[in-house]
Amino acid sequence: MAWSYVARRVAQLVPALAAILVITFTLVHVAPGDPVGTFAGEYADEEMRAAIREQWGLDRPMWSQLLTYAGRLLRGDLGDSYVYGRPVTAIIGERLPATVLLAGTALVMSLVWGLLLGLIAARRPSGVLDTTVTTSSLLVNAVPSFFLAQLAILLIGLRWGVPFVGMTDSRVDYRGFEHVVDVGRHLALPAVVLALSEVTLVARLTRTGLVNEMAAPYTRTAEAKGLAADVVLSRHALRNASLPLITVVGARVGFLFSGAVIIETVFSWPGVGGLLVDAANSGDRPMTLGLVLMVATSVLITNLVTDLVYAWVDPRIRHR
Amino acid sequence: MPGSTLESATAEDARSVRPSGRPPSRRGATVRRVLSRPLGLVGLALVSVAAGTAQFADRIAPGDPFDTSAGPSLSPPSWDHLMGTDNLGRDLFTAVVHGTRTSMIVVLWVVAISSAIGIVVGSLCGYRGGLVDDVMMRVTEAFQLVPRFFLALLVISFWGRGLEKIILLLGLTSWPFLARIVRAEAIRLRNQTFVESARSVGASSARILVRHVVPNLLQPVVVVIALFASRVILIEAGLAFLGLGDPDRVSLGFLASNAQQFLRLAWWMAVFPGAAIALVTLGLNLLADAVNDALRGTR
Repeated sequence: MAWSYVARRVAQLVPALAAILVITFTLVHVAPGDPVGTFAGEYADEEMRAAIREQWGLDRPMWSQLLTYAGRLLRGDLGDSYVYGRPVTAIIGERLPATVLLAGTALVMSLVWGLLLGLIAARRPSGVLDTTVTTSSLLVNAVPSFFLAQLAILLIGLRWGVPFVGMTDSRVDYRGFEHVVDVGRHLALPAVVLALSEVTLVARLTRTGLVNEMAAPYTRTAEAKGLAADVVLSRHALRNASLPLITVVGARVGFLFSGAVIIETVFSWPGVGGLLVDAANSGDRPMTLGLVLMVATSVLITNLVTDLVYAWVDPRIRHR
Repeated sequence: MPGSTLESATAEDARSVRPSGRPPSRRGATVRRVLSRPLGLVGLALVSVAAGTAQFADRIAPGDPFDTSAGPSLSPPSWDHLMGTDNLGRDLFTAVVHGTRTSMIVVLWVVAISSAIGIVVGSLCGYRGGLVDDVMMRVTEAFQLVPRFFLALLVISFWGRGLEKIILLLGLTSWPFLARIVRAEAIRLRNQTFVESARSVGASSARILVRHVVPNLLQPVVVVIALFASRVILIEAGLAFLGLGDPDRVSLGFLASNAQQFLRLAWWMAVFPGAAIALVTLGLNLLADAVNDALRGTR
């Protein structure tokens, strides 16, 4: 791959990150309301408020606060949480693995199932299976994720005894392999629900791509050579049809995060989603800002990786 | 495009050539095509029911949705309480009707704000091109950097809750996506013969935009707006579910979050509000699909 292309794309990250930082920081800091109230309580006298303001640097002008924040950010420091009184990065670090496990499992599941369903649907366009896949994807897309989650709890969790609260069983202290099994059991429902809306998207894209590719001359050539229909579909058409999927998967990481916020709330999953909701509801500025910056950055980086992968797979792009 | 659609389109074009030379109404044909599809009809019916519920909420459910003396708490659906009551004895049917109204108000305003900005910016950029276009397209890209949901979370938690804040926020951050689609349409139209002929008789740019370009790009844009409206409903419900909705108004997302801790005891508290959101969203999606299919036939 041309290194100049990589360098150009990486260089574009800098202004984008700066823009996000300035926008989110300004939005939070020009908001009405006194952040001191968050941790001083309403009974603090003026002297105490002033002390807190000085301690947290809130008495300085906004641009100076922004510069300090940006300077610390470069050293990987997101400040201290108002509520926990500990570094934001440490708290995020504790919670992030749970979210990555949940979102990662959901992403893998949605890709595997989506590709399979898309392949099945494309074998006979407008057939029974195709119609079923298309219709159910319409239905799933219309249902809000929290309702899907609640339905899963009502229909599966409560009936079949599949756990739906938290990440581990709090009554028993499992070790080693048993711990893994326990987490896996707790992961099942939230991961499936989170994956569901992405499954339909991947399935529809795969199907449309395959149907288009199957009409192309090269697939007819492959068929004319005497290859079985399924081989043409999975070996030839699928490769080309999966190109747009790369872009979509990259673009969906932001959605996976926002989906995870809601799913984590419903299933009391101990990830960063619940942390963000709590921080937003309690007015914890550094925590909220840190989490939103983290999400925005990961979306940017995934977009970058997607573009690079795409350019690597499809030479027409990097030579443009 | 499959051959059959192409053939039927040409056959219809041939039939509709009128002696007066006036082109047939494309809009009328599209509406007829939408109505001739069963799924399109279902979509239209669902959206109409939602709109009707929002418009006549006070007559359909005259009670106060916050009234805790409506009935015994946690009673299952019955003739007295069609959708049951919640943990505080509030009538769920009343709440769902008024919650639907809240959703529809948000959607209407957000769609109005973002389509107004999106159509103006998009058609200008697409038709004029040049520096304006470059600058505006960079602006739309900047908007897409921070996921809308997180921006909403950030702003609402620090600027306070309220319906007008949700509306403004979603309206002012959603137009870039529409503008890009309008722009693409405007570029397509810019070089068509009828626009060129308008230019050749000396029509001003403003006149060409308002009379020729914008009316012709509205139909395809309607599809996108319908899909976008269903996204807005889901985002609003999601925010309300996380406790970031307007505390003074019943919203379907809030009802669903209230149901969370009573899932074992009262399935109806979760099912009816959730189903209401799903039906409205499904209606908008079906309608968008049907309009899209119908338009593809006319091109």
